[in-house]
Amino acid sequence: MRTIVLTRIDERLIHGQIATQWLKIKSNPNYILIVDEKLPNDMLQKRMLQIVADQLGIAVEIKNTADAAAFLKEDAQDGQNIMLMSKIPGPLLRLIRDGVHLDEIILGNMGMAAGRKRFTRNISASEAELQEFREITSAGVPIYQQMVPTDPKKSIDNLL
Amino acid sequence: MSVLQATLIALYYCLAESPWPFGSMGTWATIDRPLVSGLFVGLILGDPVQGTIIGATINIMYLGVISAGGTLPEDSSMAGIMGTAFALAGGLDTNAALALAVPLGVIGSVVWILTMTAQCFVVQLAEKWVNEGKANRLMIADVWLPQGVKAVIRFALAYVIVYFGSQGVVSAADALNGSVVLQALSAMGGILPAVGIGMMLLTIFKGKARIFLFLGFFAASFLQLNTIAIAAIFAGVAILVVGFTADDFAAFHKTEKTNTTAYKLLKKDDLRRMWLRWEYYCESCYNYENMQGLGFTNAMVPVFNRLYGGDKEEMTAALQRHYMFFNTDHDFGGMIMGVCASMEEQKKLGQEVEDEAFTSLKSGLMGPCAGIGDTLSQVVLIPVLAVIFINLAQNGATWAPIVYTILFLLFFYGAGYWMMKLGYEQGGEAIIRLMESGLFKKVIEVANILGCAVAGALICHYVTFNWTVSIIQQDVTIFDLQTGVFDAICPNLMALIVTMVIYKAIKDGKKTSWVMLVTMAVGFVLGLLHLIG
Repeated sequence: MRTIVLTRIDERLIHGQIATQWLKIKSNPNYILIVDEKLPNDMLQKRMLQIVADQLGIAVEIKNTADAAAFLKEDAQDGQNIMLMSKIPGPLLRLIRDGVHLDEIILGNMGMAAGRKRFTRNISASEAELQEFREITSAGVPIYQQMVPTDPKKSIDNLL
Repeated sequence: MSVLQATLIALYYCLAESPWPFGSMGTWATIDRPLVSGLFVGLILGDPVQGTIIGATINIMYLGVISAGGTLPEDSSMAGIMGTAFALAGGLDTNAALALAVPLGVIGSVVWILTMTAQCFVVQLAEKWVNEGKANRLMIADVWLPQGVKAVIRFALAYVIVYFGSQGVVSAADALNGSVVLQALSAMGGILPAVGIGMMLLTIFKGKARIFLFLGFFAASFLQLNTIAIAAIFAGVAILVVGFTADDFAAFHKTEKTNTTAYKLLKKDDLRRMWLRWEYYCESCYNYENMQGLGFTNAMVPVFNRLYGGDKEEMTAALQRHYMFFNTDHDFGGMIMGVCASMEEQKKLGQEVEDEAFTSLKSGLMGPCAGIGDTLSQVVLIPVLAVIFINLAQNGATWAPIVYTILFLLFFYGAGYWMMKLGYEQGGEAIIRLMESGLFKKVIEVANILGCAVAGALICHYVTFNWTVSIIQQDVTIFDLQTGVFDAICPNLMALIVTMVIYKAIKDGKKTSWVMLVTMAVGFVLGLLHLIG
């Protein structure tokens, strides 16, 4: 399986100071894989993400769950350290069910939206999303709240 | 210092930190900078020339300050205003003024963080009004309330600091007059610009640009060129090295207005008022919840009034769909506003424009726009202009801060208005095309090269590190470390070495406040021991 060094849920994906801090961690992520069902078909969004990627000087790929699972199950490439990202828990749960192994998931930003309840300043979630969190953890993949690498990892018990 | 003078200085601080008179970035980049505040504090205290010189020197420390993503690592405002005031009151030289400025800058950032946090309360009020469709009340939440509260806090703080602080500085200066402590402070202050330049290098010392730091330094050291000459020459060199082609400017060619509904409902005046409200008040209620979100919504109100005025339901829906997290560079933000205005107009004219379209456009664009925009305004425009006028101001030219202000405003608002119009008349596609073009990347590369060359010149001219180590035998100096060794190799070489050491520390992740304190400590001790002077 390809080498995943970091898995993160953040609706702002690779924008902003926070994303750039995560790119500097020791395990040296140098390839960003965004997994989302709608994004691969959104040309405008893809172009905008590509602009950010160019600014950061890093490779970015956007795939739906099926393609991402197939990609991740291929043999590991030397020196390729993947940062796996999703806006919401759903695609990551589907990856896990499809046989992709994840060490842990870091939960960053999920903003307030219709149907979601606010838990902290940065995290709001709907009932369906909370259920997805539960299924991910019962599949053996721990989830931690952590905004930036220098923050301590917090459990998500206060959400569940 | 008289009560009147302290009051005027405190008022100046309040004004400089507010969106007035020149707008959010307009004020922050000009009268809030030591280069300009030095002149005005000098005027208030009766010595505008010396004030200008001191302000310009303090500004060197803060050339590398970048505010991005809701952070402000150092605040040059307090440092400039209070640093100049204290130096003038106590008759201190520029190096001692620098030494004082550093802790003041730290106080300034703390105040900034406090105001950011406090504004969260106003945000709740704003949210209530958004959900009630009360568009015209947003000015209260975005502007009048937070600015009023902040003005009171800032005035009190600034008055106390400047009135009692200057008294303290005067008595300390009297007590220490002629003593070795003052001399050590001066030596310490001489090294401090290296920290400011080191911080500036953090963003620009990359790739090809790196060698130009040394070229600029040697041009200043061996060829004895002044900073402006070096800026002029290396600007040309940078443009040659980077190489622009016709393709780079393709995005600027006048294409037909792709917005076919332009000006059908909205008037140019509505757009102008929207744009100005944005440029002035985008960060008036900057808060950790939605950053510029409230500012954005408030700025759209002139457009909403034109399109939905009188229809409470439509107005409420419009306010709600835009009231979200937003954070980007100010000029580019104006461009995004232009696109949103055109989309709202199309929606009102009956086209199908979903809420999702606004959200994905704004959240998709704000990141890249911030990346490029912050760099262009804070790494390119401000430092390049500042460096030229600092050089002039240091020679006592009191007109330098004024011309700097005028030029900055012309560039910034000229570009900003053009961008807003571009966004409105040509839509999101044009913005993306503009950003995909290699032009901005090349402009930034030119700025990096130019910046490094100028940094090299600044190191040579403004960082003072002279060894006072010599061996004297029978009244004859047979060996002097500075003149015998270092100056013989390259004048002011120690300044370059010291700056690179400091830069390495910052690059390795040491916090800038730590680096400043350590530099001050080392400089002070070396000065006390008469090793440097």
